[in-house]
Amino acid sequence: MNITFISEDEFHYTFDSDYGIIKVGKYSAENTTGAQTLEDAANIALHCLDNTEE
Amino acid sequence: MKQIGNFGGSSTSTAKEIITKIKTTRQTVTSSTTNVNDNHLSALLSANKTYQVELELFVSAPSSGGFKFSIASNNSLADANINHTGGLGTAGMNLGGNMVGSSSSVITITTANNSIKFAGYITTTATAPTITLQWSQATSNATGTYIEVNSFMKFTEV
Repeated sequence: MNITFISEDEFHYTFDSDYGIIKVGKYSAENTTGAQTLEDAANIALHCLDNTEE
Repeated sequence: MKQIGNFGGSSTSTAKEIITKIKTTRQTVTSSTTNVNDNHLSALLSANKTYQVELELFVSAPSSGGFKFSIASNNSLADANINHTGGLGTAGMNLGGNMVGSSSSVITITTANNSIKFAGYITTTATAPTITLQWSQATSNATGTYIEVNSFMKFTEV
């Protein structure tokens, strides 16, 4: 899957991909499984469809 | 020749408004429980009208990620009543009220390709509202929750 970084806001990194828009949550005290860096977010985005893909 | 009826240009149209929005690409949220605006399912309604509301979402989620949503309006509504079916072990739910700032509702979904259907009505006030589906994971998980292409929302003036 190819992904392209688009933007970020307070809560999410946003990527475009072969499967449409992917929003990756940022790390926080309330979201400890979120991405701590853009690189981390990119890795999550690359693999986030693995278990729910048809 | 006798004219039967009024065929002049002064008559007013009584056509009912139908607004349809459809997802043209998949959208995924992962590692997050903060609702995002759906990037397709948002519609500007007209003021002082009542609409029949219909949504169908094709949702996939990992077993621990799930799906939560709200159907939000940027302006107060005169009335609204929307119920849903679909998802595992989830009773139908009345979103009710004017939906402004409504809290999120969770639907239990653990697999791919679930259909969630919503039906109800919205009555607008003198201020035209934009109705937007907002959603995310119910529990933050690195496997994504996504709404699939061809999910749609439809508003039919009644």
